[in-house]
Parts: sequence; C-alpha cells; structure tokens
Amino acid sequence: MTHAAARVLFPAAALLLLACGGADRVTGDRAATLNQVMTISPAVASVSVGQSLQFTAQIPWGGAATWSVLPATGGSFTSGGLFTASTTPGSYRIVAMWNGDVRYTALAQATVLPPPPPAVSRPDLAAASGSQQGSASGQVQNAAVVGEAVVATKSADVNATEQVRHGYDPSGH
Amino acid sequence: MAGLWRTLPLVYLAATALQAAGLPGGGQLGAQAALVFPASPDLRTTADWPGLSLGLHGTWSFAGGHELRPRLDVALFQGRNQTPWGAATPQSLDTRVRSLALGADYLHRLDDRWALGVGVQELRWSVASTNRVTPTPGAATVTVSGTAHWWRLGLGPVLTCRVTPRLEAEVRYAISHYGQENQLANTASCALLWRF
Repeated sequence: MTHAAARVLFPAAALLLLACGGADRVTGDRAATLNQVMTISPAVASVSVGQSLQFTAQIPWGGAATWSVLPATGGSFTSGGLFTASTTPGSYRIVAMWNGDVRYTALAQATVLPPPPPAVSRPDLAAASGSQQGSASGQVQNAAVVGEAVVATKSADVNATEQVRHGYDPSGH
Repeated sequence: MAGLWRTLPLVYLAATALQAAGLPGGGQLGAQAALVFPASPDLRTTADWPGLSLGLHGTWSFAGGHELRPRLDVALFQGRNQTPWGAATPQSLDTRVRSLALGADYLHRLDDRWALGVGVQELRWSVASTNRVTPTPGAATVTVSGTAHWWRLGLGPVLTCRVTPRLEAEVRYAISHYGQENQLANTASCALLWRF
C-alpha cells in the first residue's frame, strides 16, 4: 500500500467503524415522535347511541387515514372519518393511521352515551314541533327544548331570511 | 429477501448477455454484493443491521487514472420492531426498509490497487410497516399494514481496493434522507465487486 493510499484508507475505515457500531442504538423515545405528528379532532368526544360524529385527522401532508374504534362494539367508521355509535354505551378509543405511511398514528377518546329518557307528554303544554315551513333560506333553526311551553313566532327581515323566535306569550297568541 | 434471491439468476443471465454483447467504449461489466449498515439514528428507527445489497455495475477507465462506474444496487435491511407508546398504550410497529439505488461513482486511481472517489445515487427508499395498536391493554388490537416510498438523492465517498484483476473490495458511505419528515438515512457499506 502506498503512503497516499494509507492516508485515505485509515480515515475511511474509522468512518465505517463509527457508522457500524460506534453510535448509540435508537431508543423508543425517538420512535415515539411518529405518534406526535398526527392528531385527531376532536380528541375527546361524546355521542349518543346511534348518533354520528365526524372525526378529522390533522395530517401535515394531507391525505386520508384508516379509522378504527376499539373495542369494535363501539360503532363503525366510514373511510371519511364519520363515526356512528353503536347501541352499546361506554368508553372507546379511536385510532387513526395515515394511509401514506401507516407508521403515523393518532388516538382519540369517544364516549357513547345512553339514550336520553323519553319526554313526558303533558296536554297543558304545547311542544314546539319545529315544523315551520316556507323558509326563504331553507334553514330554520329551532332551539326549543322538548316539553317546554313555547310559542313560535316568525318574522322576515329585508334579506328574506326567515327567523324563528321562541318564547312564552302570556296573551296566548 | 426471497424475492431478492429469486432475481439473482435473472440478473446474472442479463449481465453475462450484456458482457457478451460488449459494453461500448471498452467498459467492463460486473456485479457486487455488500453488507450495508444504517449509519444514522433516524434510519435505525426502522432498519436494523446488517442489510444485504446486490447489484450490477459497469466500469469505464480513462487516461490519467479516472474511472466512471454507473451502478444499480438493491439493498434490504433487517427488520425492526418498535414500541413507541410503551406500556401505557401497547403498540408494536414492525418495519422493513429497502432501497433501490441508481447512480454512478467517479473514481481516481491512486495506484494499481487503490482508488478513491465519490458516488452519487438516486435512491428509492421503501418502508414496509405493520402497525399494531392496542389502546386498552388486554383489549382488541388494530393492525394496519402498508408500504411507503420516497425518492431521494444519495452522496458520499467511495474507497476501493483491487484484490485481483477481477475482484475488488469497496467501502462507501452514503448520505441520504428518507421518510415524510426527510430524516437522515445515511448508510455505510462494505462490498465485493466481481468483474465478469
């Protein structure tokens, strides 16, 4: 071996040795960053049995995720992240894995609530039916609580947007 | 790995056919095998060592000790398992990394045996993953598998030693990146090159 060759061989060999065995092995902490890049919104949610809730995966690079609920008795997911609760109340974990690289994972919590008790029907109360018709905008918001005595009145503004107000009218109109 | 071994006879047949046809400009065809080591922590999260690399190359020699060596390398690293979330949320992440490198080495002959140069490659990194998450210990598990790919540039020094007229030993270091977060994916390798 010439002197020139030795000058390059030994640094190269040292570099190779350093690369092969000199550095520390990776720890789980570094790998855990894969689980901090992607998040689910909402992170904690409640939904009544049989109802649906839209979950969204916040992925820095866009794209879709694979959705799962565990245990699977909690409900079902569409590919777009729409969760439909089953009829089994309880606490469930939502898991999303990015389709672009399934190493990226995010977790959320969903609570499936039992159905509300049935409303008591009282003849002396007029329940708001919310059956207003003729909306100029097509959107009528009814904020009444079932069982509450209310009278619905309507008014139309200059923009022809229908508004519905609910309140107690002592005159009976 | 099985796929790699299955393709070997095909690669050998193609190489001998090319050699018989004769490379233009007096080039010589050869094949190489290497042990590859992930040399950056980011790559070691998904790849264990040693990996095995196989490939083909051509060598063109010019006046003044200059050589040009186009090459194709396919590397397969040992699989790796991680448990990123630890015991609180059991997760098992199995990964296996492959790379396909197409590039060329420029070498300068220092003497009859030794040559030093630089290699440039375009690398296609592939990470095959199986992600198993058990959000509640002891409960059901979600398992999703998939493979992600990225094209990245690789660059690094090469040192070769001609053992016989047909056999050459090589050490090289390649600086590259991979993954969606463009993490470092440096590799070091020790190879034997056989000239047909």
